[in-house]
Amino acid sequence: MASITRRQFVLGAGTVAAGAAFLGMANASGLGAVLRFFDDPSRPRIDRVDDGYQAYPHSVSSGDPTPTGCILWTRIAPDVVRPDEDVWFEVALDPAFKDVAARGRIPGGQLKAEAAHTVRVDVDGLLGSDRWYHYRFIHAGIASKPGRLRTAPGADADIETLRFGVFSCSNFPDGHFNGYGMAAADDLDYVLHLGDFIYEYNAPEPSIEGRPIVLPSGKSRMVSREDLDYVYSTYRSDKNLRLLLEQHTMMHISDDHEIANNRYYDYGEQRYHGDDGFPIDDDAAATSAYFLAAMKAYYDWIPSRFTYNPRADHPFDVAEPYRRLRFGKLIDLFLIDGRWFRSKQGALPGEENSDLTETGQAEGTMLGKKQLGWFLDGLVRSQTSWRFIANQTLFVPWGAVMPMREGNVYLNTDAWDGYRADRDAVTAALKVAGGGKGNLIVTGDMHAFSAAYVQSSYGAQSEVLRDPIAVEFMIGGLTSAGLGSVVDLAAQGGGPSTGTAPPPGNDSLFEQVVLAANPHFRHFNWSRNGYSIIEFRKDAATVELFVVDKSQDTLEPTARILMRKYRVSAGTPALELLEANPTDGMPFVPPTIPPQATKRGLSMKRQSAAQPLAAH
Amino acid sequence: MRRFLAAFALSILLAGCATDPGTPPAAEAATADSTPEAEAEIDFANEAPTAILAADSVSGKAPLDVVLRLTGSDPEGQDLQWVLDLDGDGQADLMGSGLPHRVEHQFPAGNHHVQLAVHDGNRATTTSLDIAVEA
Repeated sequence: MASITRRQFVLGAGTVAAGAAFLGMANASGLGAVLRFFDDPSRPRIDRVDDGYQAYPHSVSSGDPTPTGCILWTRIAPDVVRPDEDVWFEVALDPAFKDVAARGRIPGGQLKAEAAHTVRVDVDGLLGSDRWYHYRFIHAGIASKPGRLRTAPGADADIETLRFGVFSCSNFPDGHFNGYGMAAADDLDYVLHLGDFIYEYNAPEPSIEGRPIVLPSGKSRMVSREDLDYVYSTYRSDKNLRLLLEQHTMMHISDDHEIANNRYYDYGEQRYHGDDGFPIDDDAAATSAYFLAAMKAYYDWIPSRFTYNPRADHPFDVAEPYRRLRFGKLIDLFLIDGRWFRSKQGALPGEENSDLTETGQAEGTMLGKKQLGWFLDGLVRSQTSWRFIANQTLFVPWGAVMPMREGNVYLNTDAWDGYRADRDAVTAALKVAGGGKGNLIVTGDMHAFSAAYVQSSYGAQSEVLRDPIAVEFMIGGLTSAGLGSVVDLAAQGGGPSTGTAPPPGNDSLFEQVVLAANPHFRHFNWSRNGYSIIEFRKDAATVELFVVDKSQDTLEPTARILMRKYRVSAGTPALELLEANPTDGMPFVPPTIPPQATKRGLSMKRQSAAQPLAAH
Repeated sequence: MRRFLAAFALSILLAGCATDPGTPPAAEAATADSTPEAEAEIDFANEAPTAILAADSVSGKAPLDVVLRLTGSDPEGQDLQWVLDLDGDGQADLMGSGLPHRVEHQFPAGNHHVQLAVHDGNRATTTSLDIAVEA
């Protein structure tokens, strides 16, 4: 390494006329003008640490690691913001911040009310690979609580193991976020959230006391940036979510509820739609404006590695939230977006133009042409031991035997069952990707835990498993109520559950029904809430499905049960059940009822409520 | 427009007005022609750039080879120049334009206060790191 002599001027490649003039000035004035820069304090003043989350109400968080950095995030309380004072951040090797490896500042004037005073700093290119760092923000003399981040291993790193905590569907009024708090203490490298991180609807009467959602607009669904900021702020003020994000670097994909239930883009009308309150007041312009505001809010509140371009002509160019993150030679993580570019869902059985039998063709696209091309190309070129796919809605077919019809019918056309052309293309790519080996999909959306094989083709219900090329795990909602906890399928009951007592036998009954019609499934639980830990090694991945008692505000170990533990070999896609435990005794919580909500294919009437009930 | 303003600000600096670079020369401009029309036309609401300095190691035995990474961004997208003081004496040791930039440097024994200033032609932002090198 060449050492540098004093006052040697190094001109970067980007030197331009202004720069040359600037340097000329520096020479002419004997550096005097330049040195005045250093009159400015070049390190932050710290008067106190924000222990009580007053100045930094959501603490700090980090997202989307690369081998040389990640995105740092915080939000500063509006009454603390001083536009004339900078926002500093420090990334250190030690928790005491003695060895600061990166320090920088953002002018306080860049804190904008229209971005809810959120701060987003991408330190990609600045840090070392595959290591833990500590970081904090400092503004107006107040330091945030420190957070911990982990960068990704370098592309050529031969790493032994990586552990991910995986979450989905975290409805604030439906339960405590104690699962987040438990994972904060778990031995994890990263966490992954599969969407429905927030929910869009008003819930003044929550299932859990003290967790209402009361939208500022007074509407039944979020309609404005003010509503969006209120909801994100409420969720991100949760003590357990703060704890999780202080401790672990998160990757996130959004599902429908970050914006609108069952949302899609109408390619004919060229506008976005959603169920239940969307379009807003039948106003296409207001709805489109809301969708763009919601995507901007998502960008502002969750540190994910994509760009938001408000000046783009088409919403597809405003944001392209899909991305791939590489973790050494072990994992290519594909974070896909099955909502922003999707066309309208396929019809359901009984609906007009329903063609969703085995032989029918569902039109439309889940990913959009550009993303689909990117995804297929990435899959077939991937050289890592694993392709880990973070996916919104159920990938494998999910049918039922219906009377008066031949073969199976698809019951959830909001999932890939409603977009079978795209699924066929991805399936073909998975068969090539890794030689049909080392492909693991994780899915949220339905508030169910499941384990299933992805196959080249699916036969009639009686046919046995054939040609598996991947496995798919659905990760149960952290809190959002599954249908099994809503409907009492027990033989003696039959009617809807009151929610005050566990519907006996629901776990096994739903599982039997689903497995009977879908032989590629190995597990299905629609009653429980919790999260998952997935550990990848070169030869195999282990998947632990944890059930958490969301009714209690507790982090006690007794509030968590390991329900299932699977081993998935990288060599031959095989689901090997290592452990299975009963979840008896875990209490149920009645779901918070959203006004006028429906779930495509899953809507049902609740006798005690005047309105249809959403499972989702 | 912005480019023009940056050059204009720079010319004020070049003219010997070595004012605190944290204060944009908007005051002089407004005084020189303080009609409301001119103020509305010439927007000096320039925001200072972001400055980040990172090191791959911040302590070790002498001589310590360190890779410094300099980066920054400007809200107005103006071209950025940078000045680096490697030993904390307030004297510029390295200067350049265009970010990000990578600097390799071998530090002798001692404590070194490394300072970076990033300048958008109008306003500057500084930051620093401390490198501790054992003898």
